[in-house]
Amino acid sequence: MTLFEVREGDKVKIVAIYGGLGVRNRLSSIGLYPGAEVKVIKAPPGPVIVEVAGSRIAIGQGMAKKVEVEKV
Amino acid sequence: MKEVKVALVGNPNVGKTAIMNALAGTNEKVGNWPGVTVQKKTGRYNFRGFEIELIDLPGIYSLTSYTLEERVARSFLLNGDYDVAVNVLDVTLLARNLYLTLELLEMGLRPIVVLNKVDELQNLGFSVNKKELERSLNLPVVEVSAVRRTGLEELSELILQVATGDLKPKGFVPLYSDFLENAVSLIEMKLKRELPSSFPFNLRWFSIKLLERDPEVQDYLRKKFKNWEEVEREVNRIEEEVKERFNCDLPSFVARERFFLASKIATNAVKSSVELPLYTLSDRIDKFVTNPITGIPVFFLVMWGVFKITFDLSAPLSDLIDKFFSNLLPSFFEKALSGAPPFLLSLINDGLLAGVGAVMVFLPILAILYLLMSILEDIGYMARAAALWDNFMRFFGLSGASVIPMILGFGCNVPAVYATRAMRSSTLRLITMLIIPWISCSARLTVYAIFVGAFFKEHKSLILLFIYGLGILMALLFATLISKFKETSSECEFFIELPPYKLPSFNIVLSQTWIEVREFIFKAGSVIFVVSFLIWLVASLPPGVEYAGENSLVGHLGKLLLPIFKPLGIDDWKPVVALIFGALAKEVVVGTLGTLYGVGEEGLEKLLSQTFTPESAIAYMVFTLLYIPCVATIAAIKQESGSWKYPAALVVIELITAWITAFVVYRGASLLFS
Repeated sequence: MTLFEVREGDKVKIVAIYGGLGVRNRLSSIGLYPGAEVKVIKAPPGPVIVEVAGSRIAIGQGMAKKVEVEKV
Repeated sequence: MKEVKVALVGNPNVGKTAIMNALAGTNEKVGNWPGVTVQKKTGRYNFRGFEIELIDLPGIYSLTSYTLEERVARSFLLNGDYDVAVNVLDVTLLARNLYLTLELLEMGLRPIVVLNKVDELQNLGFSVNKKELERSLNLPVVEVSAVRRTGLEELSELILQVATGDLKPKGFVPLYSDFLENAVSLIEMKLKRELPSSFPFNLRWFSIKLLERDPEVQDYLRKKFKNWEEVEREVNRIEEEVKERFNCDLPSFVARERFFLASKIATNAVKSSVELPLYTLSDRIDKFVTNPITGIPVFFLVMWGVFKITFDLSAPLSDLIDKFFSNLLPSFFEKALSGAPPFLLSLINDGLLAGVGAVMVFLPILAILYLLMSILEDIGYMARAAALWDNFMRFFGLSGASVIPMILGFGCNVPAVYATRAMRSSTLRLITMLIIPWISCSARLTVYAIFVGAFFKEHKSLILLFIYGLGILMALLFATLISKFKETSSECEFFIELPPYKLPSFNIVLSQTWIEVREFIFKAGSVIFVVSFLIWLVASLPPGVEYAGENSLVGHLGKLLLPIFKPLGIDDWKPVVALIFGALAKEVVVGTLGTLYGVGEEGLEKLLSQTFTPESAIAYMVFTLLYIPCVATIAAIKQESGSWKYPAALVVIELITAWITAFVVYRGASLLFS
């Protein structure tokens, strides 16, 4: 499933990120890389909010659909 | 006095600007980095007989060359002229912030590490072990709170010690897993074989960046390195192995390793005294304000409040300033210079005072709006509003952060252009400031009001809706078009960090507002002043003519340009001259029409219904909406984009678009009304 389909309170592990090098580099520099575990604070509608490395990151729907995750 | 140049580098939202403010006060300059639209802030202060200049680099998460901000910061750090590098960290997010510190160390830099927001960390029930951090990084560390102004003197002290060479930070070389280290050494050896010993960059860093497939480093080597293909093959081979063994692409693998190390260092340094769920209330508010169903009403309520406060507070002040410059001072000069030639009096009253007044009337609105915006930014709402609108705005090649400047544009385009400063991506920021002039500001409403009153009494709201809607449509259309050329896809903000909510710190908000207002007076003000003077010149030459009359230069210009306006149904030169004056400020159009027809604003409605037809009236309104931004907006765009080429191109495009649209509307209306 993708980060777009998660539910609030889920803890998920990132499996893969689809997108160009720039996208992946920027996401991994804030802690969103394959293998990282994040907590879902808010699910759609609207942006997905996740907790990663102590900070809250809002991710738009388009981007969220490109992040494949699995439940922990 | 000896000068020390300090580069401030750090993630967005860590409080670099707040530290600069706390150290340098309002002694700050805002400009642009050469050749790009990325904002550059510098501040100066004196300490122990040294003049310290702080250079605020763009806020970045990493030092790979994917965004303009990263490229600007990196090239400054690599080649720039500075004496001391200072890495500012948000200590409440230590692990993520240390990621950038590790990258700096990889580059071979030895920065002073500043832990900002120590007071917030303590409030959360944590403490940081400074000694431990100093030991693991092998760098000088100083704890600071920009808000409470603690630790600042110690920071200045350290800066001087490093600058004078009394203190030489050693810095540690970040070492990663055996697998990555082997890969790095392999690439490093291949590079070393061919590169000269005088190679200016750190080879280990270059190798790591190659593994991360950094575009700039790749391009550099492709040109300089004969066996580039061999190196590239090696990198590809390593990538295959990483994919097989770690189920991850190579750049992400490198980032992950760096993140692991950063987390390890952070966990060793930060001690928690209590176990508490981090900001739950903040999360609940976030769910409410970023969900479209609840968030959009909240957003419009906030914006309505901002407008209400701004216009209620600024209107009497602006009126006072306007009266002072257009009534009080002119009549004073009329009396004082009663014997002087009328030419001189006109120069003072219509030229100089009108120019100064044009700048000054903007001050209340600008100051109040800017103050409210910095408060919204400081408490953390701006980031939420950007997150809320992101999906919608992406559709037009913009980002959620473009929404607030666009909405502000309905009040006044000038502060709207300045409000784009809150946007992180400089490309999207540039696009946003270029589409703001299409948004109908309140000054243009005065023009519509008089024409709607004269021609469309029954369909007032319908016509106004059409005009405002046309402006929004043009803005979004234009945004979609530019984003096709500017390739925003590589510059997009893929995510928005939501900083915890907090009370605004008033000394920071106030000094920022003061800096912005001062910049406006001196930078935008000078442009506005010059244009006002030029317009006075064409209105009063040749000497002896009636001001802006038929025989003045501007009158001739109006008649010269009239054929262009004939297809729009305009048969008189006077409305054309009014449009020329409208370049000063759109509300001037009405006043000029009044003066030229010699009736004042009251009788104007009746007179207009004789010179215009409903079709040409609506075409004139559309033209007023879309043709050139007012001179204050042009000056603001020049100041913010750092180049004349953007406002110049905008003027040309807007003039052409305005004419075509007005023509289409005129023709359409002729069909519709007949």
